Parts: sequence; C-alpha cells; structure tokens
Amino acid sequence: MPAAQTISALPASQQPPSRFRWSSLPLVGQAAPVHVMLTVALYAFFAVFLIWPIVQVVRAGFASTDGRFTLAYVRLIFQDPVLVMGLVNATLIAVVTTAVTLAMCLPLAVLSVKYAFPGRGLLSGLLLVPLVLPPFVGAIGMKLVLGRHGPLTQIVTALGWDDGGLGIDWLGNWRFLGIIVVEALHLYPIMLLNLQASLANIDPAMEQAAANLGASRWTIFRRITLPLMRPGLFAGCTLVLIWSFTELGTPLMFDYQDVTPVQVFARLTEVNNNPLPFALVVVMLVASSVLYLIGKSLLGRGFDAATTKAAVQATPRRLTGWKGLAAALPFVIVFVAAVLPHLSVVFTAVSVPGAWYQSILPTSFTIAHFEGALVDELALPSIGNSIQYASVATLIAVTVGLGCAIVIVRSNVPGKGMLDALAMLPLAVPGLVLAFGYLSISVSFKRQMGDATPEFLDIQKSPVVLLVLAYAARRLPYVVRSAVAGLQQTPRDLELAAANLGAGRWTVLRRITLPLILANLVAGGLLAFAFAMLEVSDSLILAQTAKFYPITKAIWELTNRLGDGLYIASALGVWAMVLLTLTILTANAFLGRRMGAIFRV
Amino acid sequence: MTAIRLDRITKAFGSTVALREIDLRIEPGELFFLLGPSGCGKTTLLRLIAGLHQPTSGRIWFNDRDVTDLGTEKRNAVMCFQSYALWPHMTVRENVRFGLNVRKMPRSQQNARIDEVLRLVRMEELADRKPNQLSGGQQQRVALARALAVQPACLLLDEPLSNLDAKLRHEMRSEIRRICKTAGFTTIYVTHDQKEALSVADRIAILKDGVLMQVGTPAELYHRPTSAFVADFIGQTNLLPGKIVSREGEAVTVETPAGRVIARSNGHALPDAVTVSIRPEQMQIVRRGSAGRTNRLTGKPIEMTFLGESTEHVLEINGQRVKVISAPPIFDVPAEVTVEFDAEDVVVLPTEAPPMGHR
Repeated sequence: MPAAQTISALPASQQPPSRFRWSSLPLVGQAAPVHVMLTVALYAFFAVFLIWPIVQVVRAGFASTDGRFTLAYVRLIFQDPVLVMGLVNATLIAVVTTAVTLAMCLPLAVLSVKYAFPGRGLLSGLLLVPLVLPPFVGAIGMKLVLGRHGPLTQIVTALGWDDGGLGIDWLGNWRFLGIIVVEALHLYPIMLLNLQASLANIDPAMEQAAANLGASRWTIFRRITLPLMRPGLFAGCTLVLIWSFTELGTPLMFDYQDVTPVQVFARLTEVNNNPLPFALVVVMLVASSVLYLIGKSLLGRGFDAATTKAAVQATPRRLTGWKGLAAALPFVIVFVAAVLPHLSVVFTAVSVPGAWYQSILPTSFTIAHFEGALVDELALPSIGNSIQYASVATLIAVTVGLGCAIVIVRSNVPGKGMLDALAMLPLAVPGLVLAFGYLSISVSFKRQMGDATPEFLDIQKSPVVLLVLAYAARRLPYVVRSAVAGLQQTPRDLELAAANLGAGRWTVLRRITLPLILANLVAGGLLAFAFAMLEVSDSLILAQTAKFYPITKAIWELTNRLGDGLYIASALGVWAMVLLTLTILTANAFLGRRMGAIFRV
Repeated sequence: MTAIRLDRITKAFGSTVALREIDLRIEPGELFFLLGPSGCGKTTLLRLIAGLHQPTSGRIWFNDRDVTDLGTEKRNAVMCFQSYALWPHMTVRENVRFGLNVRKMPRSQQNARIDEVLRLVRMEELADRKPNQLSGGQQQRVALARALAVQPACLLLDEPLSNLDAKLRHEMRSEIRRICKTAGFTTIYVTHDQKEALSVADRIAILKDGVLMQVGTPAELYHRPTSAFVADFIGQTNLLPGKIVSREGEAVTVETPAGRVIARSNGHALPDAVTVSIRPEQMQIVRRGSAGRTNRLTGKPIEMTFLGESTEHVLEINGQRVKVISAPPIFDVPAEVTVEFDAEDVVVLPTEAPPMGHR
C-alpha cells in the first residue's frame, strides 16, 4: 500500500490532484512543466509581436527588390543632406533634452529624497502628472501661445518690448528650443523617478561615513553620492535619450520638418513601394542602440545589490519656515512650467475662435468646443475607439505581464533572465520602429497575398488588431515591472502554505496570489491604459482610415483642418487629459509610494 | 589622546526620548563599552559622540573643547558602521585613502600610511579588491583600517562583530583590543553582547531605556551591581524579593521567601524592601555536613541541565525557583539538596533601582 493512502483520512476524490506537483522551493530543482509551458508561450508572444516586427523593419531597410542584402538605401540616406541634417538634429534634440532634464532633476531628486518640507508628498506626486500628458497635445496650445501675435508676444510687449507692430515670430526663431523645452518638460518625470529611486537606495551610512571622515558636503556628493547613483543615472539618461531621439509628436506639432522621425512620417504614404522610410527607421534603431551602449559603458556598471541596499532608511532633514518654502519653490516652478502648455490647451479649448489673438488671455469664452468635440464626426468616434483599443491592449498587457512576472520571480525555468530582458526591450526600442515593424508586416502580407490578405492584417482596411497589439507591446514593461514588484513583496511561503493544504496551482493563483498583488496589477494596468489612450507614434502611423482613428490621430487630423479644427482638437485633448488624470490618480491611490518602482529599468 | 565627557545629554526623536540626562567621562586611551539590550539608546549615544546626531540638550566635550555644535566632519571622532559602509565603487585601498585625501595628506605619506594600517589589520594582500569581493570579516577589518588611517581623536565602533559568525567573532574580539591598544586611541565600542564586553572592555556603561544604569569595570559590574537589571544582564543571577529584618554593623539580614539570608552591606543606605541577588555559580551544593559558609538553604531539585564543564540545577526552595551551577558536574543529586554561600556573594539591591544621573 502506498504510504500516502494509509496516512490520508480524506476520500480519494478529495485528495489534492497529484499531477500538480509543487516544486519544493523557488529556484531549486527542476522547472515545473506549467512554468516551462508558460515560458514557451511568452517567448512565442515576444517572437511574433516584438522580434518579428523589428526583423521586418531591418529586412525592409536592407533588402533590395529581388530580396538580396543591400546597403544602397542606407547609403542613399547618408548622401541626402536633408536626411543627414534630420539625424543631426534628432541627435542634438536628444542630447540637449537629456542634459536639460538631468540638470533639472538632480536638484529636485536630492531635495525630495534628503529633505522634508511642506507639501513634499503632494508636489512629488504632481510632478509625475506631465508624464501622461503627451507634449503632442500640449504643443497645440503652445502653438497658439507662441503665435506671432499670441499671448507671449502680448506679455512681452506689455513688459515694454517693442515688437514694431509685427509681432514676434517665436516659432520661426526658436522652434528648435521650443521642441527641447516641451520635450524636457514632458520627459523629466522618468529621469526624476530613476534618480530618486537610486538616491533612496543608497545606504545613508555610505554618506555618513564620508562626513565622519571629514569630507565636505560637496566632496561627499561628488565622490560618494553621484557614483553610487550611477544605475539610476544610466536608466534615466538612456530612457530620456532614446525617447527624445525618436519623438515624433512634438516636432510634428511644431511643424519642424528637419528631424528624422518627422521625415519618416512624411514618407509614410510611400511605404508600399519605397524602402527608404524603413532604411531611415533602421538607422534610428542602430543609432538608439549605439546611444544605449555608450550610456551603458559610461554609467551602466551596477553594484552588488547587497552592498548598496539601504540597511536603514535615512531620515530626511526637516526644513521649516522660509527654508521649507525655498525647497518647495523649484517643485512649484517645474510643475507650473510643465503644465503650462496643457493649460494653454485648456484656454484654447474654451476660447471663441479668434478671441485669443493680440491678447494675453482669450477675450471671450465658450464651452461650445467641448460639445463640438462630442458631436464632431472625427472626434466622437475617436474617443470610443481609443477607449476600446486601450482596454483590450491593457487586458493583453496585464495577462502577458503577469505571466512574465510569474516566470521571472517564481520559476527556475532556464532562460527566464532572457525573458526579463525581452519584456523590457520595448523601453529601448523606439516606438517608431515597432510601429513601422507592424506596418511592414502588413505590407509584406499584402505584397504576397494581394487581395486575399485577411482584413485584420491589412491596416488600410482594419488596423485594430495590429494597433491594439502595438499598444500592448509598447507599455508591457510597466506592467511587468509592477507585477514583478508585487510578487517580490509577496512571500513565497504564503503560496506554499496554500499548496501545502492541498490547493492546486490555479486555486493558489486565483485565491492567494492574485488578491495579494491586485494593487500592483491594477496600477500597472491603469498606466498601460493611460499610455495607450494617448499613444502617438503607433496611432499616427498605423491608423490610416478615419473610421478607426484613435484620439491622438484625430487630434492630429483636426489641427490640420481649417476653421474650428484647432479648437475642437484642444477640446478633445482636454477630454483626454481629464480621463487620464483620473486614471493616474486612481493608480496612485492603489500604489501610493510604490508608484516609482514601475518606471525603473 | 582624548578624554570624552558627556554632560547631561538628552536626545529625543519627536516625542520619543532615546536618551535621558546621560553623564559620562571616558578616559584617554580607554577601551570603553556601551552595553545594553537593543533599543536602549547605545547606538544613538555613539552617533551623538560621532556628531551624526545633535543632542536635544546637554554638551559633549573632547578634552577641554566643547564639540557639541561641531559637525561630524570636524570632530575627528571616526566611526566604524555596523554595516561597515564601505563604498562599493572604490577598492580597499581607495576606501582607506579617502579620509587621508580629505585631510590633504601628501600622496607619498598617504601610501605609507595606507600600507601601515592595512598591515595592522592584516589586509595588505587584498588592497586592490572591491568590497563586494571580500568576506564579512575582511570587510570589517577594512572598515577598521579606514577609520584608523586618519589617526582619529577617538574611534567609535558600532556593533562591529554583529555580522560575523561565532568563530570569527571570537578571533576579532582580541584582534580589536590588540589594534586599539597598539594604536592607543580612546575607543568607544557599542554592543549588546555582554560576553564581548566583559572579555575586552576596560570599563563598561550599561544602558536601559535611554537611562545610564551603571558604569564600572567588568569585575565591578559582576560583583557589585547596583540594580537588579545590571545583576541580571551581566552574567546570570537569582533574584529574590526580600525585606530587611535586622542590620548589625556590616551584616544585613534579609527575609526572603526562600529563607533568611545574611549579606554583607555595601555601605549604601537601603530601604527595607529589597531584592537579593545570588549568582548560581557562587552557590555550592553541600552533600554532607557543612562547607562552613554563612548561608545555608535546602530545597528539592526539579530540573538538571548538563553544560559540559558544569551542571545547572534548578531547586525549589519554599516555592521559589533557585538556579545553582556546579562545577565540576554533579549527576547523582539526592532528593533533598542543600546549598551554601558566603555573605560577601549576596548582593542586596533596592527593589526600585535608582538609575544614575540626575533625578
């Protein structure tokens, strides 16, 4: 008689099913078959929706008409001075934007981590808001503010500047600077979160030991703090660098043609028979990778987690009175500056057409545009579309993200480190590249199958499937990070205790694991949703039929429409921002201080 | 060499008072221990001396200099952190060089000094390693070297051995005493391990709940505790509640539940309600006749534990549990056991222990 049956008092039907064999400990022994299957499925997902599109782009950029490898297109790019100029400008924008955000965020990070002052929590939270408000939307407002006779000109002339009655051509003269300012004000939260995280992770004893040996504050910062912040510096700089290098929305709205992403976008209509746009995207991909590798070699060498992890939480130094206010001031300034473009969108949305001209504030107000946005044949469906796409994309991202997190944290499947890296890849791959990847998949199917192409693969007929997948893949890293954090904070023993009582794998997942990490999943999902709602690159490139336009594409089309287009677009933007702010506040309520963990690399 | 004087030091964190009116004088070149259970304020006191905290009230003096308002970087009171706080981006040599650099020592002197201290802590072989390539004991010695290199006015050690295994801890104990005495610094050493303190210290201060309970040499604390807490914290002891029934010259007679006990008065005024402390190893099990000691109690053995070089017996004497240690071990215990002990070994303590300092 097997021992199990003699010990057991339960009838055989109530016995835990024996096929669910629970591996004794994490990372010990053989991988569970369920984990292996999950891993294989995830690898397949990444292969099809991440690797394949990238390979497609690269192939399209290097393959001649008869399918052979050629460098001709890439050579063409470097022979065209306009395109070379575009690359130079994109690099300049990226480098300067990164430098500006770094200079902005270093003091903010030090202040918010090392000091306590009135309103610290609220201000740090508010500073994250611009992250989900795309500069794309803000730029609509900026264009009006920076108009020749717009409010900024009025303010400057009111201060005594003589514009000679001609107005000031802000955009003409300082377009480049404008793009950098708007991008920096959009991207600084990524930098800030990473710097704050790495600062908070430094064991306070590291700095105290240096002070105790007689080092001055500046010496400590230069010799101890800054070197120990390197992982955060690397993550922040790389993310901002790549993001701004490939940013499409902002220069597009500023009508700045001489930058690669816009040049790629302008050639969108040629993708069916011209490989040049693909070659341009490949060049961007290579350049991004090079930027990443340079960053990695300069800053990327991390430390043993055990030696840098804070043993004790540092107590922030309390600042009161005017010192406290002085510490809060930079936060207020940055926040105001960051929401200013979006504030101008709000003003545009409520001003009567033509009423915000030659005046600091609009001269007459109306709420008609908000109603207009809800009845416009372009605007209204786009809201519905975006909500649908973003919802489905979020569902996919959460499911895949949870799977990845389980494999990464709870399994000992060989190659799970690789899976982790794959899940993070969309952070390093420009959105433009992925969008073009999906585009080229569609193009190559159509080339081979002609009219027999299934509708969901033909973006001209229905971009929905590809768009949703693109959204899901792009924002996957945030969901994965969020779920991984949740699992790591949940002791394995809680699950093992349930298994030990006879619960099967699914019961444990459903009754124990999911409830415990629900907050993380919801927060990660909400972020994915928010990002998908206002995603720019994929939307502009993949949605090519008015019926399927998401909000961002509708805004872009509306701004190009004469008459009330700009105002309807602004109103639409305001609707989207309201929706997003609510989403982010909900996510923040779920995650609280742990919110920052999601944006780390 | 620096004498350190704490003058009515109080430290509060918000509404929690971590240290209350501490008065202390540490002699030049002394190896001084701060001992107490966790949460007693000993690390806070060390950090106050290092200048990493500011006292809420009170002054700190190094010799004739008031250093209370001096930042940690100006005090030259160098600390070895419990976590070692070795900078992971620097090698051992660079870690040690940091303090010398800050003090603008010429490069050639730096190298000589670094070699000297690394030799002192026996780490010269591993000078070019990064901290995370070292074992716990090696890291601890580098932390010590980094502090010693700058010739501190005083050396502050915060539980330096707590991260090490038992064998290494034992080795490092005498190593630290050797190094500190060779270098001749005033050293303050924080620990919760009374054996560590008893075996290495010149003098020990015992803290409880932020209050200084007693200061003395290890022998004084062991033989002449002034409170039940210290008697119990240093070594182990039997504490019996009692009442003084007669005082004749030096002899004090105390009525306890276990029986009448005669003790030698320590000269202090005692209230009538007292606690009597008798150490288990100072009681002798008497098989027959008498060992000729002053006190004699008889009880029933209820537990016995073999400790190797000795046996520990728990006796029930008139309903009181009394612990006795017998070396060499005794295994054949009779049904009724008699123990004897001298009046000198009985310590009479006031039941409400008066803490030191101002009240």
